[in-house]
This record gives sequence, C-alpha cells and structure tokens, in this order.
Amino acid sequence: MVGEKKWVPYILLIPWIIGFLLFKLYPFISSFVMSLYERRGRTSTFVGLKNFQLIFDQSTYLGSEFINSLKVTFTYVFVTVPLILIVSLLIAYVLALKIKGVGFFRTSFYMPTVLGANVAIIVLWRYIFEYNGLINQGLKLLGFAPISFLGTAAGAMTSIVLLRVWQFGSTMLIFLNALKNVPETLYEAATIDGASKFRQFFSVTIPMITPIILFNGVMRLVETFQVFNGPVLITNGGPERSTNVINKLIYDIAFLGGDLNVGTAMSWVLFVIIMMFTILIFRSSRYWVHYQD
Amino acid sequence: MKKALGLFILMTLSLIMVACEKEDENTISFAWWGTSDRNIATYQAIELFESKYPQYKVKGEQSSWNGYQESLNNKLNRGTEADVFQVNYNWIYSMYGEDYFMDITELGIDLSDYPENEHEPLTVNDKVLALSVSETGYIFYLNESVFKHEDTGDHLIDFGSGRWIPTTWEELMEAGDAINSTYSNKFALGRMDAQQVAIMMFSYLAQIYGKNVINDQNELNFTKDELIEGFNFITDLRSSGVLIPSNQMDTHIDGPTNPNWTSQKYGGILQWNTAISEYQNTLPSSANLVMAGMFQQDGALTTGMYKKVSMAYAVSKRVETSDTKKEAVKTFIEFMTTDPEAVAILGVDRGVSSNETTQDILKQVSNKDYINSLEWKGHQVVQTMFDAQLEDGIDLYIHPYYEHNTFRAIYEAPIESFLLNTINANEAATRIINRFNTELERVMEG
Repeated sequence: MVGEKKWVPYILLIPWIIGFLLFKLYPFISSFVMSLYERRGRTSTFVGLKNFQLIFDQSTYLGSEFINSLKVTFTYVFVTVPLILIVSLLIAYVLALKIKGVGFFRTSFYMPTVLGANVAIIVLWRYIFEYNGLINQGLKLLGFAPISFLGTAAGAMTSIVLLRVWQFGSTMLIFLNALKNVPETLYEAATIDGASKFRQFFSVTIPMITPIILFNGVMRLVETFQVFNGPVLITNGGPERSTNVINKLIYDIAFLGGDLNVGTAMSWVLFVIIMMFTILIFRSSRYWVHYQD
Repeated sequence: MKKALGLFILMTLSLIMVACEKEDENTISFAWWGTSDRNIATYQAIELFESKYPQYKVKGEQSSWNGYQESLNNKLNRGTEADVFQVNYNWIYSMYGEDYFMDITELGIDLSDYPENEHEPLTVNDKVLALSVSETGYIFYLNESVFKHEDTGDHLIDFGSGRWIPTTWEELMEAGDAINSTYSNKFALGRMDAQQVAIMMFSYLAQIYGKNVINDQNELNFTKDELIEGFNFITDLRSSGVLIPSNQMDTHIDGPTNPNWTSQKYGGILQWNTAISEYQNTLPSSANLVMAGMFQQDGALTTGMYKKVSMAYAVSKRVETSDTKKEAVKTFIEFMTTDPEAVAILGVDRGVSSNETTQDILKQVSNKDYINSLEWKGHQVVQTMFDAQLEDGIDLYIHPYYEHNTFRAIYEAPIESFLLNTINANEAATRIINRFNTELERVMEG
C-alpha cells in the first residue's frame, strides 16, 4: 500500500507534464529553431540570425515597423503598469477602511475584471471613444468641441491604456489583502509619534507592502508587454500605427502574412525584453523591497 | 489505481487512433469565407450535390473573412488544408501556390467557357493554380435618399432631364456641394478608408495618364508630381462635400456598420462589385442603392477601371496523389460552377462568374432577378469599361502584389496620414515614392 502511494503523485502529474512538454517546452524550443530558418513555400533554409537582422534593419519596411511597434509597446507598458498599480493601490486603501457599504464597492470595482477585455466589452469601449461616441455626445451636450480619441495617436493610446487600467480588480484585491496584513501596532506607534495619515501611508503602509508591489508590478509588466485584444479590436493598430503593439505585429507577420520565421524571431526579441525587465526589477528589489523577516 | 491507469492509456490510444484515421477518398472537404447568405447557399448546394452524387460526401468548412487567411496559412504549413478552398487571387503568389495548390488542368476541368485571359493571373509557370469564380472591380454605388431633400423628397441636384446620378468627378463635386450645403452632416460619399482612397486616386490618375499603378518592370508607374496631383484631387473632394474633411471626424473602421452609413448621412461608397451586398444589407429597406459605375473626366485617356479575379477555387496538392480523390474534386467543382440547380442556388453571392454556361443558367433562373442585381450590373460595367481600355491598349489589371499584406502599407499608410490631416500631399507622395519600389521588390522576392 505504501509502495503504491509513492507513484500516485507522479501519475497525477503526468497530464500536466505532458501538457507542459507538448504545449510549452516544445513550442518554446521549436519557435527558436524556426526563427533561424527562412521558408519559401515548402522549402526551408537555415539562415542563422538573418531574421533578427532583418527586423532591426530600419531601411526596410519590416524593420521600421518592428522598431515602431517596440516604441508603441514600451509607451503602453510604462504608462499602463504604473497607472494600474497607483489606481489599484489607492482604491484598495480606501476599501480597506471601515466604511459603510464597503462590500458593495469591492464588488463594483472588481466587476470590470470579471468582464475582462472580451470582444463585447471592447466593442462597447469603441462606442464610448468614437468620434460620435458616448463621451463626445456628453461633451457636445455640455457645449464642448468633440475630441477625436481614436483618430489621433495620443487619443488612441489613451483609449487602450484606459481599457487595461479599468480592469484593476485583481491587482486591487491583492493589495487589499496586503493592506489588511499590515500590523495595526505599527499604525498605533506612528500615531503616538504624531505621524499624519499621509505620512503613515508613505512611511508605514508602502514599505510594508513592497513585496506585494513587486509581485503586482512584475505580473502586470509581463502581461502588458503581451497586450493584444485591445489594440486589435479598438484601434486595429491605428491611427498611423500609433497603437500597433508588438504582439499585433507578430500576429500580422506570422499568421496573416504567413511568415512564421520572422514572426518567431520577433517573439523571441519580445521574450528577451520581458526577461530583461523582470530580472532588472528583481535585481533592483533588494534596494526597495522590505521583508518583515 | 491500476484500473484507472489502464483506462487512461486506453483513452489516449483511442484518441491517437481517431486522429490518425485514414481520410475517406470519397469525402471532399471544402473551405470558404463568407457571410450568412453565402454560408446558407453553399450548404444548400452541398446538400444537393450529396443527393445527386450519393457516392460522395462533402465536409463544409465555413469561416468569416476575418481569420480565414490566417487559418489557411497555418493549414498550408501543417498540410491540413481542405481539398478545395476559396482563395483570393493574390494568395496564389503570396502563399507560394505552386508548392501547395494543384494545377487544375490536371483535373480535366473544362476552361473553354471562360474568357481567354481569365485564368492568366492564376497561372504560374504554365500551371493554372485556381479556378476563377468571378472577377471584380471597384465601382461607385450611391444611396438615392441622401441625394434627396428630406422634406420634399425632391432631388437636391439635377444634371438635366431629372438625372441626379453624377457621371463625372465634376458633377460628383457639384452633388457634394448641393448635399453638404443643405445638410451639413451629409456628404455625397462620406468616409473612405485608405484602401478605397488609394484605388480612387489611382483610377483618377489612370484616367489622366493612361497608366497602371505598377508597370511591367514591377515599379511605381506614377511620378511624385503625379501623385501630388492625385492627393490634391482628394483635397478637392473633401472641400466640396464629397468626402468628410478629415477622417479624424469619423473613426468607425468598419464601413458597412458605420452609423453614418446606416443612418444615411453618407451618400455613397466605392466598393468591389462583388461585395456591395454587405453595404446594401445594413441600409434601411426604404433606401435605394444604385450602381453609379466609375466617374469620368474630360480629356481622359481611359476610364480608370481596375479589375482582378475576385475569388477562386484552389485544390490542395495532396489531391494529386489519388485518382479517386481527383475525380471526386473535379465532379464537385464542376457541379458548383455549372450544375443548373447549384448555380441557381449559389446565385451571384460570390460575384458573377465569367463562365458563359453559368451566366446563361443565371439568366434563366425564374424566381430570382439576378440580372438586375447590383452585383450583375456592376459586373457588366466593370467588364465593359475594362474591355474598352484594353482596346485602347491600356491594361489596368491589378498587380498580384498590390494588395500584399505588408506591401500595401507602403501606399496606404501615407494615404491614411493624409486623410487624418497629419501630413500634406507633398509629404504623402514623398513617403510613397521613397519605399514603393524597394519594398515591392522585397516582397516579390519572398
């Protein structure tokens, strides 16, 4: 009986291991191999790093598009991630207070995350931000001139950033849990020392939840680098390629254009970028993350 | 536990066996893209085929336009494409059709009922890689309601003898002025995207200079000054109530569902004659959409009518290896294109076939007036204008790489910026000139 029990966990792990090998590890390795080849019809030729050179060659359309999509993606990530963290932390802070009807507000704020960035929501989002959309109808009623959100680079970027920031529910819940775990005694001590609520927030709350800020930051960073749905369905990468994020470009090149080799090369560049930023954040964490132990 | 493990292994093996099951050679898979009308008609035709040829089964693989090309690219890479699949004509080139598509002459399909040159664009190294379903050209369609006074119902413009449909660009601008000065939110055409403006501009320039966009040496056929002239023409259309002043004023990307189109603020559209039903279907039933052809100008060298094969049926190269499958596929394709009952069911939803037999059948269908459909009328105009150009020695057949996925951005991106008013005509023309030839060469090399 004891001997039988020993291999039971391994049997239970088999489906996951098969899934990991087939759907994660194999595509991961084969995509790198693929990025080293050039395919014309049924003929594949080993070309080494040519595809990587091509996507960084700004004299070609492909190269300039890739660099543009990198810029767009960086802008998106470095605006979206801090905004999500700030908004979700502030809302979590308010919801952590003992106020009446807080349960209702917690549910309400989490709703956008439940709805997610699905097609219906994105279509709704389009109708809100279009030239004749809800916001501009409101502006017209108030006597203001309409704004072309989706017709300008800044407006379109704002729209897709807001769509992501709007779904701050998960990040907020994690912050909420962290805030509740900050020992009350620290606040009591700070109050006795005469610290204001504002000072307590920055000198007690923030340092105490830095491990959670690190976790949320890394998770959101990885996730936003891979954004796809919003830019495809709201702006289709436009106007003037201003929201043509890297994942959309990869999709267009690899699947619409059928060039999987160049597409996988781009994917690997994206992977390396995400990896570098993740390592950088973890390395920097020793200077700003405080663990209670 | 051992029982559970045994069951798990058994299920896995069963799944593998199902996956590896040999395909029945009398089953034909057929993939296409289309809207619900086309899907319903196609399934009805398939049902009819199976009843007439009980030895065959057809597995239909319907899809919307969005995602079809991506899916086909993937399937070709994996070798899992359908036996017969609908393709755009330029995919023959961009998808390396010679490697994946069978030479349909090997099936023994009779091409003698088609016009002589119909299959030339689908032929690579003497191999006919797809069967033309129909040809198409960009032409104008106008919504009469927008050209009328809202209260009295009278036409806002009269070009003589009650004619309200413009025939020249000048008349179009007059109509635009009349509409827009009466109703500031209405336009003779409205919003056009970069793809539509590109072909309109190239048609206009072709009328003046008698040249195709791309010449026989695969280079841009227009000079910078000529392109600037084209952009200035677009500016004229925008300042005369034909087009909206800036595309920043309307950011709805999808033409047929654009609220300004469906609420009849926009009076017309430049569209492939094979795809006009998408725009027609979203208008109120009271709207009268009429075919206006291609607007002309004084002293023009040609009519400016570009055309191409609209769509074609390609056959997977896998089919080559089996005579039984070849026979099945041949029977199916011939049925879909020339069987009187099938042709009557399929109608003109995939455009008007150039096959004489098919056209004769459509003319005789009694319960539907295909000849007076917008698609048919458009087809007639496209063919007539194009043939007249050929007689003058001007060939405006659309280059197979003109609509290539990445190449098209070379001219569409500057046009988009111009339509958004972020660059002027000179800058837009410069951007096109700078990259057109090198990028075309690159995509053609693969």
